[in-house]
Amino acid sequence: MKKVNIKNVSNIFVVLVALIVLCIALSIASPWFATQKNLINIVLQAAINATLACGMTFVILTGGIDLSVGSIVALAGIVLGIIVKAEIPLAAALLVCVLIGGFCGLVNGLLVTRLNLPAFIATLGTMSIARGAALYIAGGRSISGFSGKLNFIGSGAILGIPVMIIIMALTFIIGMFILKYTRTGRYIYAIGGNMEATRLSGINTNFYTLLVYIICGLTAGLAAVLLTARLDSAQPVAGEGYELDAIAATVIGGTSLDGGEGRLSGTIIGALMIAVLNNGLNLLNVSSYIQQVVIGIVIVLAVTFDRIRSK
Amino acid sequence: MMKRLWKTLAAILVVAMCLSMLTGCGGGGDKDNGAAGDSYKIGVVLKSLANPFYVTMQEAIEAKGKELGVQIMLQAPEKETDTEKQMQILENMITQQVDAILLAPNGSTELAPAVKKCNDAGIPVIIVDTRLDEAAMKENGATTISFVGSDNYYGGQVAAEEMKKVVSEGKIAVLEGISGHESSINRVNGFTDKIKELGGLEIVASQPADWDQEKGYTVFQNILQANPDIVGLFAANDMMALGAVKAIEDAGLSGKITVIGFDATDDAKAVINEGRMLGSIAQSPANMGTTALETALDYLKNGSCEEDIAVEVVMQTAE
Repeated sequence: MKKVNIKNVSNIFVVLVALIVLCIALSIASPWFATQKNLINIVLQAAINATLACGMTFVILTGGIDLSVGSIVALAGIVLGIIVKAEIPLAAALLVCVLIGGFCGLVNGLLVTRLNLPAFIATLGTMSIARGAALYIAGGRSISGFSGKLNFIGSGAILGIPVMIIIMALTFIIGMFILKYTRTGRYIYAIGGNMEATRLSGINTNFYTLLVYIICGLTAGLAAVLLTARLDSAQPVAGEGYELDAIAATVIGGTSLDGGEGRLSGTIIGALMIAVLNNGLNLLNVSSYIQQVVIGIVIVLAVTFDRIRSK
Repeated sequence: MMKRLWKTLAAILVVAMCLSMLTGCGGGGDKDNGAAGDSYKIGVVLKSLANPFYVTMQEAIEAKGKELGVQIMLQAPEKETDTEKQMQILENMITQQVDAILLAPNGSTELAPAVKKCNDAGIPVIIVDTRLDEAAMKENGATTISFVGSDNYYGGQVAAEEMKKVVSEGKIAVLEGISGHESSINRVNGFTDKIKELGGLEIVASQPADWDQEKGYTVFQNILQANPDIVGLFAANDMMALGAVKAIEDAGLSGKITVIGFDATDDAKAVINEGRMLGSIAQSPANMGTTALETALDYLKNGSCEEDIAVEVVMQTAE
């Protein structure tokens, strides 16, 4: 166990060094990159993906996967849009939005633990169900006209720090606390390391597996709050492909898709890496075709490096 | 346990320090650059470069920019539904202190907060192709200086007249774009209003296929299942029309259904010339792009410009 941990730390440092080198290179290449405003923009642009990736890391640590998060963002966002307009107190509306995400996660978890479906298939199904539900409820149209109720979350700031970034940071602090200091955290790593051995040692693996999908759903609900607030609209086609970005951030951050290995601090760095790349390539006016190629290369490099190290 | 925590904290601290260091040394750079040269720097955000329509627009804007000695910074998301990515691109263009922004928005309401950010940075915004929602703009306190787009409603009417010339009576269908998209609504309304006015033709199905070729295929295949005796189809863009043409041919109904698309893309023109499709309403993306660029420059030089510019559309048939 101890040996694995040391390896993880090193991995995170490698990604961190790569991120810093990239930042230095970009600040030399573009005079706009290293401005305070731009750096805040980067974290802001990473916030939604990072929030999703936080929950995704929990799922991937158990050796699972959740493809439905992008669709959950759309569904929870549409519901949020409708209830915000229905004059329900804002705090209640936000809570409902996050809980809808959690409920979708619960469904995923039940499909995986009770029906023993492979996570890939179960969440592929709920991805389609949630997307269809979002489109149906919204009648295919975007919902807007929140009369500024979501502006504080979407564009407000506390002491100069955007509220979106604060929400993301709190999410990670809670996540890190669970993984590091609670029994639940240890069991999550154990399940990913060896599900059968964990079960045989008397731990209710079904319960903890269910829990990670609920956590992932809750963060998707939270991401829906952030996205809806940022755009001041809820869009039924929102979040398409977000699941892949969240998986990419998790994997670049050194979490193994086999489960059992990885850290949330790595996931933040992974999400920042993607945001820095997108932002930097924008600033350098690189064609959007090439941007996709570059992100792909980084994912492949990160995982390749990970594999070489763990041999 | 504690050791790991400290290492993580140390890592976060290092990032924070590096970022703040970078902030410190980068601060001066932008001011030098902002003042450099008197040529204008125009930011262009298109819907997606996966759609040939916007590639044509891109090429025209870049060529015109070169001709006029204007620097063009052009970006687009991968998907035409991705509004948040457009917002990111706009934020990054504000950082680069462009002089004006041309925006073809992926959502009518979603981009209002982003336009507000441009307003706050003092950058004039010209909307191209798809109008923004007035209520959402008002609510966010966002303003634009001009709209340059096709006369979509008129285009729909032209399509209806051409349809009526070929098939005088029977059942027809309509494929719509993404629900709520203003260009789709106007094209479809122009078409249906004119069809009703002309009489003889009955619209039995009008369904969205999200501007998408593959959806055009499946949605029209389903419509055909329900209404095998359809004689005409109007698709609100060519991607959907091409999908539907394939569905018609696979169903063995070649030549029995008159198809009119919208946009006159190169792919559609080829199919029209082969006689597999009647025609397509030609918007001019090139004309639209260059008009928008000229409008922006007009505003930057004179402080005012025309607020609503309709770019002409015509029916393109076999050559």
